[in-house]
Amino acid sequence: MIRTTATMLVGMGGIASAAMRPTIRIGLTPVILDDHSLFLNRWRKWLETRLGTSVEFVQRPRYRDITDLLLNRTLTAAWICGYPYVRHQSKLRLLAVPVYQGKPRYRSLVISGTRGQAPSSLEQMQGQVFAFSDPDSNSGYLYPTYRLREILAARPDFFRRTFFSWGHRNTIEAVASGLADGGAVDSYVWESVVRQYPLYAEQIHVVERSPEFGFPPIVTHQDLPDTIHAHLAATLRQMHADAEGLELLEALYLDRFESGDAADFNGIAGMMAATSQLGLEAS
Amino acid sequence: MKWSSYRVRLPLSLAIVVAVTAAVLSVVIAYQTYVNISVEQRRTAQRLAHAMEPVLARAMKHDDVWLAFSLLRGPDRSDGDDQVDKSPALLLLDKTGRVFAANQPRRFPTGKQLADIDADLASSVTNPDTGKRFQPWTRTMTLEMPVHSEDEVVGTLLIRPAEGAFWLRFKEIALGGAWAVLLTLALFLPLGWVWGRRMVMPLTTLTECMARIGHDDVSNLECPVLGFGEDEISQLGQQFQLLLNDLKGKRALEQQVMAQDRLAAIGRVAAGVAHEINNPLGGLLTAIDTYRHKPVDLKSPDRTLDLIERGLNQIREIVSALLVESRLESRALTPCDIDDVETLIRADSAAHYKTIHWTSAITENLPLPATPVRQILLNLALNAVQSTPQEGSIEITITSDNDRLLLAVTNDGQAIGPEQLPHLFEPFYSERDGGTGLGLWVTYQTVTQLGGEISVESRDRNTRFEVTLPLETCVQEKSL
Repeated sequence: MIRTTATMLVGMGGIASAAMRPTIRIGLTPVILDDHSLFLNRWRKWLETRLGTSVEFVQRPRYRDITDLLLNRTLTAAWICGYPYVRHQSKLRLLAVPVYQGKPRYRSLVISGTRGQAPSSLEQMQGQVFAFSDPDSNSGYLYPTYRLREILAARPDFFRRTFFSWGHRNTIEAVASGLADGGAVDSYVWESVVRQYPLYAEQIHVVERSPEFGFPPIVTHQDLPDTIHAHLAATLRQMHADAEGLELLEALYLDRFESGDAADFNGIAGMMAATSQLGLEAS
Repeated sequence: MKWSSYRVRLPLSLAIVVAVTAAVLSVVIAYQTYVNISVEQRRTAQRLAHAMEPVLARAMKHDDVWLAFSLLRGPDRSDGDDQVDKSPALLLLDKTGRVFAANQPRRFPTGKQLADIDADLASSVTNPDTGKRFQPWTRTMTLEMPVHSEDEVVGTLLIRPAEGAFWLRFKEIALGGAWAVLLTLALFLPLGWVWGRRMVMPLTTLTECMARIGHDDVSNLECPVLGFGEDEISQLGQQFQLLLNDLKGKRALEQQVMAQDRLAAIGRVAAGVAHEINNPLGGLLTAIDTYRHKPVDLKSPDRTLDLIERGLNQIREIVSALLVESRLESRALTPCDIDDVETLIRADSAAHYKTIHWTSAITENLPLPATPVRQILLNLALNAVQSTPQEGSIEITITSDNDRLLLAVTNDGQAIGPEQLPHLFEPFYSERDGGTGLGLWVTYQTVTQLGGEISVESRDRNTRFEVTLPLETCVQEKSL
């Protein structure tokens, strides 16, 4: 009886809010394991309850599609990679940055299959098939390109073949299956995947670890009204204070969200400048 | 148990038929399975290729290796290595013959020329630009299909069934079939065996029953009824029962006939005995009658009594012979015996006005048993008297030389036909009214027993019987 009344009150509140406020659309990219629809459903409901408005997650296979939707204001916010954020920094505004293992940072990992002779550096992977995750990915494309910028500028055929797998997880699968000899992935995604599927740790070994970069942030368009931005930011930052919110963060293997600092992404900006000078930027 | 027995052969035949049928079925099913699997594999591959073509074309157009790979590997999420033998190989080649993507990337690495990886497979690939959409299955059973993007050939899809996958499937199905056949055999072989034996059982019973005919008494032979059905074995059984019943009837009839025959034989013996006794009796009675009316004419009453005594002795000996005591005593033949026969005959013939010419050269005792000789002489004489017409004449001559006695009896009665002569000494053969047919038969038997011979000649009105009897030394000694 009490429960029914509570539901009705919440429901009425929801309807009233929804009528006044537009739906919040949040774009997701493969910077996180975005393929667990049950988790996304729970997170959506949690956000709707906290925000008092309807929430919709928008997923596209490529980073660029989400970036475009954000830039044309179709999306309220998006969880994107640091690379497109840095590229479009003038039009975008940080909303929240996840804290992973105590820091809002992650690395790019160069991985290789354990079969055959394992290379000890990127340079030793000459003549191999290399999988990038996305042309707009820092860890999956920018960092390895920057790392090999001089070699690649001189010898575009350093790798026998390269291709985009459109997701860190796909890169892991490509290397595990032997489609690619090696690839570059997000350390956070790699560790999350290995937690769920420990077998990958046997099939793949990490060749190189990059320096730390700013963790893929959740950003909004600069034009988003401050009230909504603030409400969203506060809600996300308080997620770990709420039992259910904490549970959701744990499912993502994250500690919490914090407001973030644009300076954390300077490293990415530097790599971007260096590669674009050499014309190594993906189209 | 013999191998030639139907008890073995029929169940064995049934078992062999079952086994052969199963074997033939297995071969047919195996062949059909073989055909079906190859056709099915080709169709599946073609359907797969058709379904994949648009996406593969897009992947090639956008240089999206991952997209092509995701499609080619299908639901198979293994690392594509352990499954090499179990799943078919799907390869997407670009226009230059390089591997764009394959579902077994370790076996067919992306970016390498197929010719460098698998020369055999590469040689079976034709130029994708040359027309035909589907190549027939080559020796390697690889399906080759050009990938089109807006009428432009952008690549080639190769589908190569897993090594041994065909045989693996065929083996699975064939093995299943073989088990089914074995199970069927296991079920039907004993069934066929039992059924065959049951079918043959009536025949066996019949055979055993038939084998007993000839050993056992038919009258007590009882064979179980095999059945009343319309089938051949039941009918055989029924016919056999009819036959057995017929046989029993026949045997009963035979026994009846045998009993009658015995009675008839007894009657014949009785008739023979009566005949033999009757022969002397007639003469004896006549002698007594003559003595009564004309006792004076006789030389002496003793002679009449002697005659009667010898006649009675003859009868006694005949009876003794019947009682198998014939050897008790045999008297030697005396001239009186010959005279007795003459007396007996004359008494008989005088009544019928027949003339007897009696000539006897016997003057002393002869080493021959008296009774049989008297019997022979009396029989032949009476036979002649009876065969002679009224006022006919009979000639009887008795002579002897050193070692034998000769009897000749001739009458002028009607001659015996040549067709009757061979049967003359058979028993119950009589051409004369009222004759028993035993007289000449008994005579013949007696002559033969004495080691003598009898012959007959008959022509015009002259019938002559001649008897030759060898003289016996032992009889002579005994008589002395």
